[in-house]
Amino acid sequence: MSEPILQVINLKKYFALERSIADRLLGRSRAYVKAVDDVSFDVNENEIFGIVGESGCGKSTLGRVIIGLLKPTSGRILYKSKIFNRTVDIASLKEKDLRLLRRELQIIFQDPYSALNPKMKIGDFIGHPLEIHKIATGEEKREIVMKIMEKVGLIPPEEYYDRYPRELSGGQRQRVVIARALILNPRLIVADEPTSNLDVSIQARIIALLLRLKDEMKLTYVFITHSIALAHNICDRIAVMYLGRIVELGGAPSIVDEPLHPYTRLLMRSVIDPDTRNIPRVREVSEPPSPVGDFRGCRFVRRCPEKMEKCEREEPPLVEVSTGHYVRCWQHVKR
Amino acid sequence: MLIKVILHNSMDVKILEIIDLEIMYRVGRKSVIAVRDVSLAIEKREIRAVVGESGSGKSTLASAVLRVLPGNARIVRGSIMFDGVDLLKLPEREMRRIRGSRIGIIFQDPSATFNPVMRVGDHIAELLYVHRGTRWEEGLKVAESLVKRFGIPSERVYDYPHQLSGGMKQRFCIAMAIATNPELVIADEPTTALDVVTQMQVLSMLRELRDEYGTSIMFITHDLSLALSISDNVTVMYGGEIVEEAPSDDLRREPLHPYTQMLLECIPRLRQRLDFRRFEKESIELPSTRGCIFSNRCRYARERCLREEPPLIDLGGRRVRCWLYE
Repeated sequence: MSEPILQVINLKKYFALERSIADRLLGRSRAYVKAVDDVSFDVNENEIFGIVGESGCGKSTLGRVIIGLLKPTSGRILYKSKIFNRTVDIASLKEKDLRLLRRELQIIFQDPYSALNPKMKIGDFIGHPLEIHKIATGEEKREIVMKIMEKVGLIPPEEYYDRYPRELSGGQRQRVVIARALILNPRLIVADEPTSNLDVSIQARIIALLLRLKDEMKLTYVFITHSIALAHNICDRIAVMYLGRIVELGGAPSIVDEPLHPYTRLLMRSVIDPDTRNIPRVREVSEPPSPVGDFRGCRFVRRCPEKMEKCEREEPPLVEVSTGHYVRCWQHVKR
Repeated sequence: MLIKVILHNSMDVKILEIIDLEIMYRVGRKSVIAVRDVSLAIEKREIRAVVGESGSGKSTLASAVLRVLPGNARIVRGSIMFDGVDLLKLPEREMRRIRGSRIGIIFQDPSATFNPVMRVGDHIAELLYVHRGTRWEEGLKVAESLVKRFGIPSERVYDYPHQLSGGMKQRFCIAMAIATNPELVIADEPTTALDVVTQMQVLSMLRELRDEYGTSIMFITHDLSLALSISDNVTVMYGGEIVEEAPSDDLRREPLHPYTQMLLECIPRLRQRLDFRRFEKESIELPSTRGCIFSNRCRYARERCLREEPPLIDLGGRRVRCWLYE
């Protein structure tokens, strides 16, 4: 296996909550939301690494932290950089270097409507990073933009260049966002639910586009999604997140064929199969707990149908059950 | 056994019948057709899913039934019969007696439904007070027993909206929609804002609603697998028109319209991996303005399809708008 392009080591991102006056008077300490809590994983070059979980599990925060949009509370993010010609730690990089690294690391957000500037022609919007990084202006910029527009399927580019976002459909807007992310020739792209606002037929084409671009431009994707079915369809490996922790990690086929964590199984039961009748039965009624404060025991214990006494007291470690397949559950810890 | 027979007999009574509806939107100086040539009937005890992409006209249809269309919308023709009365001809005062009382509503965003300074139970009490003249205290008691039926602890009725999670709020919305025992509930993307696990719980709650109270449900969604899983019959809309309509089982087994076929193919499944690359052919995403509305995306499009729009062809028990089935 090739050396990983990205190594995330013991990464934490806590958000401090505002303390009320009563809290201060009573001397209560500050509460934290542990959005990402001690997460480690590698991403190999040219793979699609999926991060799956419900809203609030920390997956989006994780995506922002690993490309340097958010400073982590602690931990390391080792990235094999071309520009610096060495491995750098994104977590401790200076602002100036981080800006330079932006050429290699990009993010695609969920909502193409809010990602676009409504008053900017889409050609100018796509080419803006070229100006920011002082790579090209004027005619030269136009040429690079046209080329990338063609690549993402905004064809013919001269017809789209001077249009405004409101004149485009949802799928076309997402193509614009993808074009801008690609204009600096990046190597690693975090795609944060890039298709969850789109209809399935449009989603299929955007995914097809992302897959082609990955081959053509030798890209690596960290693909964040709430849909384990979508992740299974396109990712090489999947990490399942729950309340800031990775609870299961492994190859996409082995996660789906042999889900080990009760939470992964719950997610899979919630997928509606269009080929069979009936709503899948999800007996569990409790709500996902809040990520605020400290936890004792396994984070999934309140919703777990298979919990044991030990789960309440002590959190299980992430153990490797078979080659490359990790799970955080006492059922799989050999004593 | 006898009860079953009676239920079955009452099945063919229509609760809602939309006849030849056409709605236009004024956008600047232009007029855009949002809904065209739409006729559909929902029977008592039926769960009908209306499926379509954004812009297909499915939400416009729901707004028209509730008579809450935006100001720039104009109903060009058609009628909407609810229990024998044309809703479109009703004075607003009488419509208000039906909306929220005989026709319940569940929206996509549960947070927008609640007044943040009122307890959730008060919303139900208010509804009962306005429509039934029920005393507030009594209304709260009704709210308690209502939510208890759906597995929610009754004391949650006294919580404020911000104290509830999104899924819990949506469950209260459903309880609210059925508090007045409506004959029809319109659910507009009720699970889109929810997590996958919570979504399942809300779906089974809607199913229960039909099974136990006999309420008809018009379930509006962009998600075909969701539609197939919950409904008896599915109406597929594209570009403001009905392109296919069939019992859910038939549609799942044998989708007829090329658009429905494409939708079913695109859904990511757990059992097999899709080869997404074959979907990347063209970048057209908007309905055609000439001939068949799907002709510019259709793999079977022939010369006639580009010229002439097909009618909604009745195949006995199902309908499809495609020249292939003429």
